Amino acid sequence: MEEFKKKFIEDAKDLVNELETSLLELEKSSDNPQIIEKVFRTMHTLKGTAGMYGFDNVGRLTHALENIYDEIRSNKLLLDIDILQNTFISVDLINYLLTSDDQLDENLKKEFDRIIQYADMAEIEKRSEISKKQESEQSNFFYVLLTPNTSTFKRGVNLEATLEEIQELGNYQIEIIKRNLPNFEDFEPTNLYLNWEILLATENAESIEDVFMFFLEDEFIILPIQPAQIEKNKELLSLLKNKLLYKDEKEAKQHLKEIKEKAEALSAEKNVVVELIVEEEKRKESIKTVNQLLHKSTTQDSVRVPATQLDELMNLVSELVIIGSRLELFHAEQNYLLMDELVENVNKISRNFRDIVLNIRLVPLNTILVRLNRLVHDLARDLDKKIDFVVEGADTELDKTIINNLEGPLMHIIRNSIDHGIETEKERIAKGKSPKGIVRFIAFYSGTNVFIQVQDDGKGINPDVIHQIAIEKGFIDKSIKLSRKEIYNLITLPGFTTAKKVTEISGRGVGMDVVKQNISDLRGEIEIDSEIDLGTSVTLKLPLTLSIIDSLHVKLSNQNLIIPLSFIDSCEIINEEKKITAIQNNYEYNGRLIPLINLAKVLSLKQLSSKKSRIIVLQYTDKHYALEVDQIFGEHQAVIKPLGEVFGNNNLFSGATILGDGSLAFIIDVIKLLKEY
Amino acid sequence: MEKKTIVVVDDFENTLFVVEFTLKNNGYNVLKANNGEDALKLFDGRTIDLLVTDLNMPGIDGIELTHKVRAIDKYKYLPILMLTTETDSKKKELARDASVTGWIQKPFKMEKFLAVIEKCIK
Repeated sequence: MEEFKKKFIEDAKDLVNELETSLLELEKSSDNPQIIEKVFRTMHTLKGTAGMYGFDNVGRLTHALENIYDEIRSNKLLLDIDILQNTFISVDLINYLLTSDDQLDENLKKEFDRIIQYADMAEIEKRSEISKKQESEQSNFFYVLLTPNTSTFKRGVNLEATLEEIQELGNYQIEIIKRNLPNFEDFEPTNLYLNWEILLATENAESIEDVFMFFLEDEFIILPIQPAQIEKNKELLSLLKNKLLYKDEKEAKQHLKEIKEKAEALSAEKNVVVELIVEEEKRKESIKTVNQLLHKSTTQDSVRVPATQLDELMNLVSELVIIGSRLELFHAEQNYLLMDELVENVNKISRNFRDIVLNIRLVPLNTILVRLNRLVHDLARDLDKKIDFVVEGADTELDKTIINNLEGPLMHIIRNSIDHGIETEKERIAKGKSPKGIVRFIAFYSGTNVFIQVQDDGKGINPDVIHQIAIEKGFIDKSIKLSRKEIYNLITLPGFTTAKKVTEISGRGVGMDVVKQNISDLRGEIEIDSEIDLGTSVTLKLPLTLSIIDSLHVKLSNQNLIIPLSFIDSCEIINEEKKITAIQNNYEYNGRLIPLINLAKVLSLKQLSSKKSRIIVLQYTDKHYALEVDQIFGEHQAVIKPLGEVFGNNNLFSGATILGDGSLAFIIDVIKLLKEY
Repeated sequence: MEKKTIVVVDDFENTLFVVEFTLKNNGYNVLKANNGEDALKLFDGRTIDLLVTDLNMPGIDGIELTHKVRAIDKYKYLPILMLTTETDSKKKELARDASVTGWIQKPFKMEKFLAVIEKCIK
């Protein structure tokens, strides 16, 4: 039971998430019947299952809301901001209840009761309507006999499309009747000899006829029936005799019986739905709804797996990769001829395996966008600004761990944009901008990275002001000249704030530095750019995955080092004459001089005197750098192991990895190295 | 997606104009003709997705046009809609026997008209 409950909570959270998305859409177009229907159904599903798992409060709340949205969808109530606002609050309450095991504290209880009461008001007028509805629904069962003319295909009628349209009407069952097939001698292949018998439970009876608009009156018959009365229906019996040519009374009755059984099965299905809508207090609900819920998650053809199992899988793959490289090394030493193929295959498979597992761990950004969307909505309301939140690339995928750690930073960035960036409506109009501000969220892949950009079209950040404040606060010396980029990067320093007043939403000066820290923990980078009165953009550059990287294994004074492949432009062997270039510490690359970093010196290692030195050319942003090492071994899949706290203040390594022979190698944090340098 | 091509035939200029205007506005490619003779010239082997024709026209009328179009191999199964003022089901039967796909009763509402067109073309 506990397990089911867990599953319920997970499913319910998904549903609530969807609900939030729908509500945000509703905010834009409050008369969209499909979304209203969706909200209603989500509430309904939640209500149905919540009670079973002891979430009575969730049940009561969703029940109340379900009623409201039922009114709305049947056009008895107008969806206004008041209702939407209350729904938003309810969604928060449901979310809270799901995590608190259905418990409410004092304050929330008040809110809870208020909403229940609010919903009850709308409900009083409802009861009479329900009974009316029930009545009308009973006659919504039809028997349709379609006996198309043999020339139907020749007339260019798309029969398939017609039958498909029936599906859109409601619950249905279609049976092909082959009774009127001619003898083989008379059979004309382009003619149509089949007939169709359709049982249909639908609420829009008027539109049935529309489906058959390309047929004449003698080609189809629509008969409203009661499933229970089919056997006694004389009209139906004569229909079968005339149209389906039943001469034998017994046979015809047999056919009627079959129809009846089908009809009853079909209407039973339908009644459950009707019952659920109408029945109120009873929650002896029905395996049926659980099945619906389960069914829903399986139809997407996916399996839900606990994240911990994925992590475990990832660890195993990491081990496999390490063992693979050990095997390779062992093979290189022993050189058994026959093992060539084996070793290669093992490594190939483990590489594929790694890629697949990494892929499994990828989660689309969508998952956090709902909450960001909500944030924008709430802030816009609180600050009384009009804001459009535009999302591009919501399906961009990132490692689950990264996504999880990204929400906080993104929220902070968006909060900044809305609070500091976007001006009030008045200010915007005065500046000749459109009264509605735009916050753009753009995500896209580039190489092995994912870029996420949050742009706003607000007032921008004045670099001079930043510079001034940085000097005042003693972050930089007055005499130092900084580039634009560097100035904007000052914002990410701890304790830096331009806000003159601390507001509830942002401006306390803790924030961007934490954001930066969070992002660098993910091996990502942050860049800020701004143009006065045009807006500000914050760009996050993130690695696709965290735990395994393709890299180059090199050696420098007996120390194994790992350099991420994504930064490497090329490897070169240098001769003496090339090494001594006009200016020291420079290296000639493609006819240009690029800085040569003496890695041995940076790492305080003795460089072994070797005649042939190797150069690795790194590329970062659009600049090239040269790195001198002693030996290059080749590509290596490095499983990143975090360094312990002892290495807390090291600036040059992003982690360590275990090599094939069991020895340790440090992974160079190229970005930090280049910045340091 | 490629624009669908619809041939519209009516001897009444006004209807032709309204139908053409509506269809074009809804993303269809429209070829028009004032009479059956001109309409037939349009069926020169090009890709046509639907024929909408008036029933009563001088010269070649809607039913004859249907027969002639169906006789061309390429357009054998082309959906053909007949515009008609008749409500009589006898006439409809006649049209069916002439292998007309469907009929639209004049005067028609544009939404309804477009819905029928869409049904034919999908």
